[in-house]
Amino acid sequence: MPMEELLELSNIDSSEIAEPLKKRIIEAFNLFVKTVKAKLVYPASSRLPQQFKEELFVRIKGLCEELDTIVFKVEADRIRYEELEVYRAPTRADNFAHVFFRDGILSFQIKQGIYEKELETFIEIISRMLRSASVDDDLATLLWESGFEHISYKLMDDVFNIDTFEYGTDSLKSTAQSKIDLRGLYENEITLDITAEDFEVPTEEKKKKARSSPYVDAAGSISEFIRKAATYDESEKAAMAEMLASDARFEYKIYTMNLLFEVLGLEVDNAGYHESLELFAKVRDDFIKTGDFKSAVTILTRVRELEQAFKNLKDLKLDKIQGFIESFASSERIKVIVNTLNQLKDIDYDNVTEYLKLLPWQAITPLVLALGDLAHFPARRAVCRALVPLGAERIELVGKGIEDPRWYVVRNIVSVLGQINNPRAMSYFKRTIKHPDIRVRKETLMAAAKVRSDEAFDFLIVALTDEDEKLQILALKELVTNKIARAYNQIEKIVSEKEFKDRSTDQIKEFLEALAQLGGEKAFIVLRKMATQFTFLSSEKQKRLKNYAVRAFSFVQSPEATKVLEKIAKARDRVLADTARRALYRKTKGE
Amino acid sequence: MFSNSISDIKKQQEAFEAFLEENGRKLVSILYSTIKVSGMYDANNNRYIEQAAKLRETLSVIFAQEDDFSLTTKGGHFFMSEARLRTERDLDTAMTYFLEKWPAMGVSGFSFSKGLDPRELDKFVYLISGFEPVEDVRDSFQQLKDRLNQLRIERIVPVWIGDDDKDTPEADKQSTRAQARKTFFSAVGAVQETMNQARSTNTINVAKTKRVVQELINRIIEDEAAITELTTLRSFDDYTYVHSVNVCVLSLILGYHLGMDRKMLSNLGVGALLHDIGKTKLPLELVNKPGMFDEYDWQQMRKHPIHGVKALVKARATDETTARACSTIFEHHLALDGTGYPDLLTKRKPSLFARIVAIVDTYNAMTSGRVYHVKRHLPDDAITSMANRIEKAFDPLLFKVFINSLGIYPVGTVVALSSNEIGIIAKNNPADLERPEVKIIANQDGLFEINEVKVIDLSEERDIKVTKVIDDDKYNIDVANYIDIG
Repeated sequence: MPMEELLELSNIDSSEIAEPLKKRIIEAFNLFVKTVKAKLVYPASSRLPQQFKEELFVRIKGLCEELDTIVFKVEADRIRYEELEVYRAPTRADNFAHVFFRDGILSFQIKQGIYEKELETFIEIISRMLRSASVDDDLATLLWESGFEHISYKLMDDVFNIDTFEYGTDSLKSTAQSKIDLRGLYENEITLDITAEDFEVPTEEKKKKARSSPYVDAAGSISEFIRKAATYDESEKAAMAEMLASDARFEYKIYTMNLLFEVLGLEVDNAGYHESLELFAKVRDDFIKTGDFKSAVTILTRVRELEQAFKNLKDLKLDKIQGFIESFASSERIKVIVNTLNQLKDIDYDNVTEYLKLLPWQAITPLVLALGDLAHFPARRAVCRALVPLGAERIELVGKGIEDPRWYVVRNIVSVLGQINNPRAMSYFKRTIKHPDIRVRKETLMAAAKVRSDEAFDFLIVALTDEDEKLQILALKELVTNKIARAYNQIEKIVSEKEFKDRSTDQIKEFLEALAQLGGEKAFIVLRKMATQFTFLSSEKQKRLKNYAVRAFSFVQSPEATKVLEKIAKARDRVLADTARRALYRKTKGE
Repeated sequence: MFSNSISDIKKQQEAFEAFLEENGRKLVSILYSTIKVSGMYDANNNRYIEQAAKLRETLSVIFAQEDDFSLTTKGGHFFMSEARLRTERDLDTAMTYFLEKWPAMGVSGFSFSKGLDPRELDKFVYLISGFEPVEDVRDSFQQLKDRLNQLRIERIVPVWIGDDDKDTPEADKQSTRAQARKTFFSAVGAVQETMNQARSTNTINVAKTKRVVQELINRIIEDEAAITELTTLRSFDDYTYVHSVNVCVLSLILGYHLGMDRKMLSNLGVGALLHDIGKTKLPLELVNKPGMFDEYDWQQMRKHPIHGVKALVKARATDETTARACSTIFEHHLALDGTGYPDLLTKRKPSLFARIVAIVDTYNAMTSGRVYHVKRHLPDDAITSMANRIEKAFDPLLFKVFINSLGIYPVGTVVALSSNEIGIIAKNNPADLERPEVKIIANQDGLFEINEVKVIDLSEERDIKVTKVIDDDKYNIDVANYIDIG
């Protein structure tokens, strides 16, 4: 659905409302819905949600100053201000009211004095709830935690849906209470009648002891501690503040990972060990689903370290940990990654690559298949980068990807194979160079160039005759970069063709320059002939060819080439003379 | 102590609500008829005498079950105490009458106390029958109160109609207590439900747990003592659930006194409420085992922190609440030096939340006397015993905050005073822990009149002090009896 269309959805039309105040309330609520949706639709870097938010704050603030408090009542599919409908859900799926309704919020109100930050947090919370249908947190909980000063809500008690029952304390009474017990209490504990025990100590002393604090018998240090419990000295106050401050730095992801390793270390039986490893998998998936590949990297790195430690110790649990690591590479796990990469914005792709690189080789095939399912280029690039080290020793697994019907998958695979830089990859390039899509052929050439074998360069020479001009130019560039002198004959053959002058300017320029760079003395002769050949009533194409031949002289490193250029520079043909001067300048500069 | 199981209590409660509803409806009808008759006849007329006898009879049936009750209206509904009365055609006239008349008088209804004599009742009926409200409901309410005082009608108290009945201190206090009670037992219900779910379906509804915790925090902020006194109630059959709620409440109070913000408190409360969730993975025979544990039993029991972590991580997304709750669940049996259980390979100091819950859990277990069948300690004894173990087992500063917030005589503790009176601690006094507020339940002569409990503030009554903590079990004192009083 187009973005603007989404933003326009579910707004109540305020144009027919005559009363200005009501109209403004509807407009403000429309803007509220738009602001929340803009936050969902646009990336964090976009300015639009911010503009909406600023405008909304101005409007809400204005309304609150006028009305003191604005109360919005929530129903299943609509929201009202008093009796005025300010929102009605257009469809069941697109229902802004539902985010409040499902968590039992009956109404919410905004009061005069609202801060911009409060409104921003409110919008953030609602968009968070719309983004995720997670049941772990509900709206009421998040609103409560925010502790808003000027936004409040009314909650339906029934939402608790706890098997609640109103205990009266009477219903908690147990055994029948008798006054005899109480009388006994009084007589035993209060009335200090003299008993046989009293003869052992003076009665007055016993009475005195009985009438002092119950803590009188505690050891001196305890008694002192309790006596001082009512007040805190400055160092204690500072320690309490530090306690809270240090707790505020609690890193829940790091804590969770450490905890799981502690739990794993405590396992003594197979079942428990297996169960603990499953927790790692669960937490890893949680990280991945939220796009936090950095934490996923940490988990996998630490599991890998554990694997190494088990290897060193020849621990019997090595098989288990290796089996567990292999499970990271399953198709299901890779699908989780694909879904995340397709759905979330603001992903750090370097971390994605880092994570994928840590996977075992079993991940190669699912990753190759994933290339076809990934919607965004940066995600495919991240996978390709990871496939290079992963597939280095198993190019046959990577190479299977060239059979994929989707051209972009084949291109990505060719790119990976090129970066792996293994001569065995040529067998795949021989097939992909015939691919109907130019982009695949182009990638094949670049990849082949990276292999830098004779076979690979032969590829480039053959590509000089490819029907596609861009491919020819690409091949020329790679041949020149790699200084493949044996390509000269093919180039000379092409430029010597009668129809060469009819080719595009780019082709003429690139072929002649490649000829000059790879041919040396041989090229000088061909170019001099082209540059100095007299033709009566030259066509524009001939003039162009002559001009680029002169230009190409700048790449021929010989004194004769300089002399020819100096001569042409003085010629009557101003255009040619100018090109020769420029070529001389480049030549001088190059030397 | 309440020895009935939660389900038994629930049945009792349902029966009690049915009783309230039946008699409430009867009361509405008869009170209306009596007021109408009083408008036509004087009090000596047989017609009135007959009608008043019916009213007294209805009230006596109610008073036989309930010492105090209220008959109020709210949002067009009638309530007998907290039980809503269904509206039916036969009561239309009576209900309409009260729904119109009472708001004009500035009242939502009246509360009635046991001991109401026939003369008081007659005076009340004639007062209501002839009362002419003035325009301002506040003035009407004041006039009504004045008239009730003049007529010495003490056992029928008007309930102010104002915002949620909170404008009068008495109503406010009752409402706060009722809310505290409701929240407390909702929390018990939630823990029960959560633990049962965890046991049978491996799911944990943390959203609901959070909601309950947040309500508990609201109640603590509103009236700490009202919710603290509920932690002194003890249950044997439903020990685990009640203990979890007690640990949650007391941890929240400690955290609140430490200066935690709402979010921290919320996370602390969730962890505290779920600290024993791992026990749901232990065999029920072990958890409910009568008698002492052998070494194997202990080995199993010591696994509950690990079981708890596994259950929570499996059931919930990895986020701060989960991690915080896990830290509490996993570390609440670790000592300050990292000893205890689970037996960590690398010893470390437990998290702040776990250190808090460790203190509260130990205290509540000691004073409940149920956990692992250890003998119950009185609060002062528990505090002294725990104080002996600070430095090694508990964080000394947190323990101090705990004592400071709970008091050295926690709310609900039965104490003897130097005045030879017996009382129950009503409210802690953080400025002077030796001098809390005490509800007197027995006077110097040893007379126990629980309906006329007075509260004394020992910070004002400087001549009186606490001399002894009384074992309520030993004398079969049910603290629950005194919770709503005073």
